[in-house]
Formats: sequence, structure tokens, C-alpha cells
Amino acid sequence: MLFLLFQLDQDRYALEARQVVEVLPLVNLKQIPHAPRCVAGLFNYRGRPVPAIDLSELTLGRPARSRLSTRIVVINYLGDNGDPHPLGLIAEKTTGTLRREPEDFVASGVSSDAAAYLGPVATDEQGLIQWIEVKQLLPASLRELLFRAPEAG
Amino acid sequence: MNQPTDSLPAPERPAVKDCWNQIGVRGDASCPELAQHIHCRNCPVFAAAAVQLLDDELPAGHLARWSRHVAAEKWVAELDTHSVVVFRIAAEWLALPTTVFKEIASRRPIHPLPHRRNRVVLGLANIRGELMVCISLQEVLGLDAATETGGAQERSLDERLLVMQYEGHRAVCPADEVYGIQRFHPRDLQEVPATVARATATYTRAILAWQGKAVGLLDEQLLFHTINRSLASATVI
Repeated sequence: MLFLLFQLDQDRYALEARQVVEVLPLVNLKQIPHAPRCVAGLFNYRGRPVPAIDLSELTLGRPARSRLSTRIVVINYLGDNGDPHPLGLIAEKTTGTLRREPEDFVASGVSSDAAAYLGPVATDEQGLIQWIEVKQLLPASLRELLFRAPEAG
Repeated sequence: MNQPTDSLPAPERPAVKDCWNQIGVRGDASCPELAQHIHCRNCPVFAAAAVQLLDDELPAGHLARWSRHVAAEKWVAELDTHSVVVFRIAAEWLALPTTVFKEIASRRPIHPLPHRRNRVVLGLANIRGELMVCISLQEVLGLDAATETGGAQERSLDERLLVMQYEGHRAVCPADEVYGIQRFHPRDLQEVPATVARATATYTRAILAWQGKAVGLLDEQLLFHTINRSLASATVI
């Protein structure tokens, strides 16, 4: 199984590559007024507006650094009713992939309701890598905001 | 010989130790790690340097350029396309699946067969030392020799021989011109107009619009069936 690696501060996290549509460089984002701080904005993805979530802002409370290695990972986020929504995740140091079996990941032993997206962990020579569950990534309020009216307009 | 680095504005950044240019595959290849990694691109030092280079400020114009790129429609290679060879006989542009073609040969003498019984079999041609039977597709398809002037065998430089093989049966057919291989998607095919009463219509599976012309996609199975029948009747005395 292939994973896409990125970093939040010094720690490494993995997204299941199967859920990733495309990895893009940073692009210009249109700000959304009154949106939570972790919603970095909207960008034009192949002709359709797609919201981008700043993972650093969501988890660490600071915006992602503007670097070449900071990238927008486009995923298909399955909404509550099962409809896929393209969603951009802004992640720092998205520079590598990792091939591991799901069995290599073991439960971290620490779970919090506030961070339900944190999954099991795997180890390599550089330390621990934690699996991010995309499905759990967005709080209900954010899902409501982003995907409420898909048929509008 | 240095690679161009004009796209990397490098003044502020701590210098990257480019060991691959010194002792690696771009240098004198004296690095002991090469025994294990074979090429610098497999080496963790090389990967670490790449990560270091990527951990850099965005160059000027980066956001605008990539915004345009990402906004554009993604080019996707079309799947399930078919491949045909497009050729011309008299005034008609025709096509047959590329798989039935062995080769396109240049024009060469066709030696007539004595006692030949029908006009479909033109004679024998030497293809790579092998004598092969030449079939007139024009005759099989019942095409008018529209360009023929006074029955003169006016030959052009565009003339080629189509060397074909279908289910073990081989045939060589002269064509007045061969365009080459063309790919198309089945959905671009159009039905043969019902009003077409010529013999070509029998052999034409569909019409393919190509460079403003209507190309008749021939049914290779039916065509070879007819060719084989003609050969049989030509050889039986």
C-alpha cells in the first residue's frame, strides 16, 4: 500500500495514496470571508472551485509556510451521504511516498475525540509516522460549511 | 560541464553539497556508496539534498504560473482508440485495421498470370523475395477509376503496395496513395448512409471523418472472404 508523506512541524504523517487525486504546488487562493482560519480559500482546479484546508492551521494553529515543498494534495473527500467532493489539503514538506502494509501500523495508544483523524503509527529509521484518516479529518461544522449545498447555483 | 541552474535563485540558501557532481555519477564515480546504490538518484544523500532544495521560498511568478496551470483542463490521453491505416484507391479514401498490415511496400512490377480468369487478380509481385498475389481492391470494391484518363496506366509516385495478412491469408493490393496510421475513437464513427448503393457500401463498416474527408472503414473479414474466393476461382482451371 502506498502512502503520501507530509510533515506537521517535525512530525511525519501519511495519507493513503489511493485517496489522493493529484499533488499540486501552491497556487493562488481566493480567501473566504467568515470561514474558519483553517479554510485557506478556494482555488480553480481544472475549471471548478475547490476549497483548500490548511492542515498546519487545522492541527497546529499556524498557517503553512510558503515553500516549494508545501503542496496542495487534492483528495476525494467522501461526504456524509457518500458523495465525493474534491478537497485540497495544504501540507508542508510533501516530498515523498512510503510503501507499507496496513499491518505495519499499530494503534498509537493515544486517542482524543478532538483529533479523531490521527490513526495508527508505523516506524522507520527516522522515527514514527502516523496515519491520517481523511474521513475523520474535517469536524462536522466544517463539513457543513464546505459541502452543504453542492447543487447550489 | 555544469547544468543550467538559472531557474534556481540561489544566493541566500546554504550551499547544497553536490557530491553527485564531484564523486557521484556526474563526477568521477569514486563514491563508495555507488557500489550499493548504483546511481546517485537511489542514494539518501541525493534525496536529502532534493528536500533541502525544495525547502525554499517560492520563486517570483510561481503562484501565478501554477494557478494558471491547475485551472486549465487536464490533458488526458484517450483510451480505447482504434488504429487504422488510411489509403486511397482511385478517388476513395479507405481504411483497414492496422493489425492486418504486414508492411507498405513501394511500387514494383506486377507480373501478370497467364490464363487468369478474373480481373480481381492482377498478378504476382516480389515482396522480399517472395511471390505474392496482387489483388485489385478497385475491382473488388467496384470503384470507378475516376482519375483514369483514356485507360492509360498513369502511375504516380504516391503509389504503394499494401501487404496484408488476415487469419493466415495474405494479399498484396496496390493503392494510389497511403496516408499512414490514424487513431480514432469508436464514437467518432458514423453510419454508412443507406443511400449508398455502390459495392463499397457492402464492405464498409462505418464512415470516419478525417481531414474533411469521409473515409470508409472496410470490414476486413468480409474483404478477405471475397479476396480468398477470387483467388480460389483464379487458380482453379
